[in-house]
Amino acid sequence: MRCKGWEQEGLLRLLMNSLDPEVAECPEELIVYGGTGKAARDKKSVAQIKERLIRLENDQTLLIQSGKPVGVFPSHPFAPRVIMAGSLLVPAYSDYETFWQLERRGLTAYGQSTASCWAYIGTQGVLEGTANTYGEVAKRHFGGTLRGRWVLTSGLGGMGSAQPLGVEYNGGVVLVVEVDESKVDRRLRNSLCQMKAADLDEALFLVQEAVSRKEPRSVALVGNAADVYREVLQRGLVPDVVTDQTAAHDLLNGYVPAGVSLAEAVRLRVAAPEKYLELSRRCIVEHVKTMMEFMRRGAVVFDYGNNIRHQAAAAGYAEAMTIPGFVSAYLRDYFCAGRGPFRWIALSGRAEDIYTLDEFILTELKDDEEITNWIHFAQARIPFQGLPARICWLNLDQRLCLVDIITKLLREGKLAAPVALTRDHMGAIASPWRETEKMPDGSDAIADWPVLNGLLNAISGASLVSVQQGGGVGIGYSIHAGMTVIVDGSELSRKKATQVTYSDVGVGIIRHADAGYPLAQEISRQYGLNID
Amino acid sequence: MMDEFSARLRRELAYNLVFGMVENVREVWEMVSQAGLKYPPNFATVWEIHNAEELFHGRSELWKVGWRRQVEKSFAGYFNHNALHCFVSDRALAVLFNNREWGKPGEENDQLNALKQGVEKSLAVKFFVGVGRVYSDARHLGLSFNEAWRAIRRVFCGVPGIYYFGDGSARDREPFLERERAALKYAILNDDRQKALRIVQEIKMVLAAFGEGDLNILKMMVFEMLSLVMTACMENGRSADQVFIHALEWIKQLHLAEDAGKMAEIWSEACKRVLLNTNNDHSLEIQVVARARRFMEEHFQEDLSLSEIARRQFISPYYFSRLFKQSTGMTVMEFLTSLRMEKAKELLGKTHQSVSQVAGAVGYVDPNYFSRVFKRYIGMSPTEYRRKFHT
Repeated sequence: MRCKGWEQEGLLRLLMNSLDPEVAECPEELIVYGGTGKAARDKKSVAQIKERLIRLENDQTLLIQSGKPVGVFPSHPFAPRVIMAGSLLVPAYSDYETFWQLERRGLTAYGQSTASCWAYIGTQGVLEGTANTYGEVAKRHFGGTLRGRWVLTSGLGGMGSAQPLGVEYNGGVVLVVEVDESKVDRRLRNSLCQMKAADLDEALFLVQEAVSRKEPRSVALVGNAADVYREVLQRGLVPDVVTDQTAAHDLLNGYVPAGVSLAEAVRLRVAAPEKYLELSRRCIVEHVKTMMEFMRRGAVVFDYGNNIRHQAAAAGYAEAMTIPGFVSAYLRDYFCAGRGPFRWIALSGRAEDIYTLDEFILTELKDDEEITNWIHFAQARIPFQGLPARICWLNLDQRLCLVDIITKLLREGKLAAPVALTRDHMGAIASPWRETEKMPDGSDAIADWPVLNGLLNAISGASLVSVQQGGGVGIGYSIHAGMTVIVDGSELSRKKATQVTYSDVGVGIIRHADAGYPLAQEISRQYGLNID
Repeated sequence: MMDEFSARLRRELAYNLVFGMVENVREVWEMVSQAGLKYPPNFATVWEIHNAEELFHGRSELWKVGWRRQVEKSFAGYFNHNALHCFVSDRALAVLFNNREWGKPGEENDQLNALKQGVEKSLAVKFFVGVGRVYSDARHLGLSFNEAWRAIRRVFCGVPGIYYFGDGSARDREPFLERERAALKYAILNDDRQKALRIVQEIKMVLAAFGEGDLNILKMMVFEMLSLVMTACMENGRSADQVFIHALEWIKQLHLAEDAGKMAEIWSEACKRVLLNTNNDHSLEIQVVARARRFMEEHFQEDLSLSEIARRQFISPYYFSRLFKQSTGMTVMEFLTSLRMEKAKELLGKTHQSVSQVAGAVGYVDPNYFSRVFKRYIGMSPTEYRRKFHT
């Protein structure tokens, strides 16, 4: 251990884990995932953060501004060791042009959701969420299973690469289109996708073969999503489900318009950004029009959180907004119940620690089939990337139970080192085109909740708290808070983890209760969270 | 001292990983843990004895067994239990490492060099060492192992050194030409001519748009990239003579070129000439494809899937499907379907089995699906076919 306490040491290990080549998309540029989501502003900042964390006392707090360490303040042991704000801009200036300009001048950095707060654990991080989304699609439209159904989607980046296993988990067949062959190859090497087709004919043959056998199968096809979708439509084929996870949230540095090769895209983005943006806008309209046509012909179509509808609408195709968003359509009930993507990371680097925790979870939470099925699936199919970790959608009681299990096992010496508890940015996020789309009281754009979430977590015992903007849907479209707490077996850490878990989940529940969801109101009463 | 049980466990794990026999992530970790390793291996090497014929000449089988045991013992001593090894032929071992403990595979890896020297000294033999790429998922070590074999097979001059499989996996955000170069090398090493030619054209467009920059720098860049293409072709087993014959003429012209457009033209023509007019030796690929064809001919009546066929060849479905298509011009499933259709024609024409029985006999569980496929391939339904051709 290099630091003066496990909180600092744990956070340092999480930072380095985010930049591990097994985890990060492009560690040399500090890019962790999601287009350009970075773990720190620049290499100098990484070195400074490391050095500061090593020297940081147990009653001090390090401040990080958009990936750059800016100060160390005296605090107290119950306070966070690290507080960060990332990618935030004053609302009237919160657009990509301003952000890129400031980013080029080295004044800010894009942190995506879990990249800048060092909570990214590789593809597993979104896998269960993806599996749950497709599970809900199956429940609501196909009698509870995707067996014998096929999903047409695209994008095999950090987020999209969860789709093949997510569909397979529900028994379905998926054809994923990805423009970058190296990403396809990487997903195949990591067992996240079963096979690569040489061309569309082969892809459709493989899909149809698996559909007729009712076997789960994932097929990747190198190509441009807009082109392939149109070709599928022109052949008169209608998939059962159509969605998209290309990097449509960023029309310049993420999305690749049809007719432009990947190499040409890299050149044009720098040489002629305006022209590139124009091509992207034109293409995305056609891309979404095709998706709409699939919807008209009976496919289940939804926006998978990359803001593709809004990009098409902003480019002049207003009808795009009739495509439903995945959270409002399929996941809202989970958030009302305070159930969301929780993750724990073994700071020892030993997979045995995660398997030990799996066993306890399988025993303690054996009545929850969603959890037990997921843990069994994850054990069999998902290799660890970097520090061994596990993601699982848990509610408040289950998270508190996990805090107790970890503390107990650490005290008994059954885990090799402390464990970091963290989560994705979903419960109290403000993201009007994704997590908070179509709230019943119209409060979609209210951004007080994530700020309250961050402030409350800071006084409740979190080891790291962040307030950020732009995660998932891009700059100007979301504000969210991150939280990590290190559990080291001590009484202090147990108290901190218990308190912050309660606060963190609680804010998410009351946000949904306040919006008028009866389920959230009921749950908030159960936990004594409401003030009525 | 490692006991015999532990040694057997480690050897078994090495075989399982090399031949892709473990599919469950947790099982991998449990076996790794039982074998006393801190991390699962993530890259494979092949150590082939130099001058094996000479070494084994006139020796009895008993002597060879004893010698191999001595080799294993020596390897175990040097690896300090941080690597797995097993014999994969009478003269070659697979050794599996993790790059956290042994460093990344590459020229700058001193640990592998030192290890090789130590082992050679203790056994008084030299080794050719082939090194595959890193696969973070240990279930794919079979691919790394195949790459390690290929790296040795590309050795021209016979020096028993360390040979690395070319790492062409382009990173997501490298500068344009670096990325293209890596992709080009990768395509050539994987025999994907179509893709290689596509990348050549993309590079040509960029070169042609070079504009008013320093033409000497551009000339050097083109020269360097041509060298890369030539080296990759030779690494892939193409004859050095052929490669040089086709490239040299264009290199002379490159020297005389005076504008970017001309250089772009030369680049494209030289690459086309080298890529299209040289041949390589695909002995491993041919073996795999031949084995797979035999397997399908013997088992077409079973409910086979692409993954199952690939698994029987110990390679990943995606690698296998590409290999098969390159070699035969057909996808695996097209081949299997045509095989089944031929057999179905025969059964329909020569027997009185019902269409359902014929479907089952050629591997289709669902007779309706069989009829649809038959109609698509043969142009008429099974019943019509029987009516016309039954003898």
